[in-house]
Amino acid sequence: MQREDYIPRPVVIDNIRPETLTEKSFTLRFTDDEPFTFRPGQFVEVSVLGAGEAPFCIASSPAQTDAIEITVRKYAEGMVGSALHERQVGDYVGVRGPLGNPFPLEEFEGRDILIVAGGIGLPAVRACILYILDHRDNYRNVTLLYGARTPADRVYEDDLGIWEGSPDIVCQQTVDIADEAGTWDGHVGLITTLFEPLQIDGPQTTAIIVGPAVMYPFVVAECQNKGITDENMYFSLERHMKCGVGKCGHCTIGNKYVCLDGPVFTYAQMRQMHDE
Amino acid sequence: MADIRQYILPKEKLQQAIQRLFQLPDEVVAPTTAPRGDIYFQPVNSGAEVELDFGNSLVSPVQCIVPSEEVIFEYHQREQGPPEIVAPPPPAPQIILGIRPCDVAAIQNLDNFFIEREPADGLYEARRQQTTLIALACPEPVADTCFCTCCEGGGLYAREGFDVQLSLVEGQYLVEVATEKGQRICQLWDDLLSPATQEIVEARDAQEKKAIYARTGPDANLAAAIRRITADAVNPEIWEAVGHDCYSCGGCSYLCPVCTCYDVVDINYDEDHGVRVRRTDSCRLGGFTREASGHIPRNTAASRARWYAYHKLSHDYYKQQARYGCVGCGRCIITCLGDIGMPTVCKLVRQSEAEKVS
Repeated sequence: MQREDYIPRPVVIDNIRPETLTEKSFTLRFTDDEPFTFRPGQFVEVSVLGAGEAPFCIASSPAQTDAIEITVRKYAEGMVGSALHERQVGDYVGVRGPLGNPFPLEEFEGRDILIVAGGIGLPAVRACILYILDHRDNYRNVTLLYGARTPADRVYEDDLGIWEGSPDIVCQQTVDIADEAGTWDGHVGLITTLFEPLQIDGPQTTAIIVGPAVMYPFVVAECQNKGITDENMYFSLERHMKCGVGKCGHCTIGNKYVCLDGPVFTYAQMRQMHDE
Repeated sequence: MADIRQYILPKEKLQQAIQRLFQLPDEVVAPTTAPRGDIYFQPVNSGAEVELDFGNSLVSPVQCIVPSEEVIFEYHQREQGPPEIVAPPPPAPQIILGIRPCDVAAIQNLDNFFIEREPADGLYEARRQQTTLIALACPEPVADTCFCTCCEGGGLYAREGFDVQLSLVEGQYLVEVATEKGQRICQLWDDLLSPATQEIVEARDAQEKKAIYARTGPDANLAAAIRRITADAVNPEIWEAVGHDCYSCGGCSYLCPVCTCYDVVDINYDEDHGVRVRRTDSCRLGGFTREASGHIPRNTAASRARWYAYHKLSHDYYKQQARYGCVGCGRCIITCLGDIGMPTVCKLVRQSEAEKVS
């Protein structure tokens, strides 16, 4: 790494799309003509000068090399996310990356893929889904289970609609609580309730699981029930990855720097983590 | 280290030798005495400012390579187009004179972490390459808080990691030159040095041995603690007890010459102009692992105490960094308000083993 590697590349905000009341998706276009290549599961550090720098997963397709998309939830304590929510189309921000280890999608070829996303975990697996759909012949059955708290908390609604109608992917959604207006006619219940009717060839299946940490033990139990091995359950872990290059120490879990050794880990690896 | 050249410098010529360092373009950083007697490493302009008869400084000279705050870049927002981002100028060469063997060992830790473990940290590497270390061996433990002899590779003189080392033995300095950077220093001293004799080399070892036997400082016995911590076999009550006594002030890690964690902060000078800096951070502070949501994974002093000990004293981290994270400088003992410096924690961990076995 060079001294300059802590310096972000300039990107211009090309598009802002509100996803929910608290989440917006941003298209960030590179302005320096260098193609930006990454693999699904990698992340970037996004700079809003004056507010700081924070990690976000790349939600767009790896086939696109001139821009990336990120989805940002606004938290009261999240300085960079809050600052991003204030930005307008045409404003400049910065990007460092891609950082971290991707999902090893080449290794999954020839297998069934089960993707389990909770809430704002969907952006983190969206690049995977788009990649797999681009290379659909290399994979057997592909299933996406998506759970959100309420219908209004769902992100990437347009994509979900497309995937629900696609013959290439089985897409099932659920919400914990249906909205009062009664417009939701889909499944209601925790994401684990989608597992039971699911026909899965466990040993042939690789699972990709991203969501709030509270969901993980229950999803792991369901996957194990279906015969998916710990080595074939892949997670993308979240910590505050401040530097993104395994130095600043904020994202450590046990002896792992999540940004450098992850953020993608198998459940087998997670069980070995000395923690917490 | 393979090829260390050894010379003798008469004690009365030391001042002359130091004065010649100022012929080089390098900034000379050396221990100095503050008005109230404390020792600080800081840039000096003459040998008269240098104090080499000292224990060790509370703030490690490692701060010359890992400053408590450093600018990553400066930025100017513009009306149109991307902001202008300016990297700081490359670091100037510096000599750290009088650095103690424990701090030399700490720099080896830092080299492994910041340079050897990829990706290398460019800011550290640039400053490190520009740094020459003139170590000053300890004739005996220089403070009653020293426990370097309990630590891996520790001793009263450095075996490696220095460019030049000065050891006071029987009224004269044994001068050791280990690197090309060290050679450059030695050339300045050419007419002051004579070849070392076998006697002085052996006398230094005898002196060290005698001092270690006579030592009354804290007994950290790191090895026993390392085994227990690696095996995750420490009674959780120990971490609760350490956490209870921890003020979460961060003092231990701010002063620890081995600690590497940092925070990244933007400082706005005005609306469209500012700097991004990184600052020494401490995993003992309550908010160290805070996420944007406000969630704090390690939200108790006990969990942070446990992780701090695990990071420094476990085989798991040894595999990554090829060194344990304690060099026995004793600064955590001096600063800790709760009396839970490293030797105390090691002792508690050892006692927990005894409790469990019985």
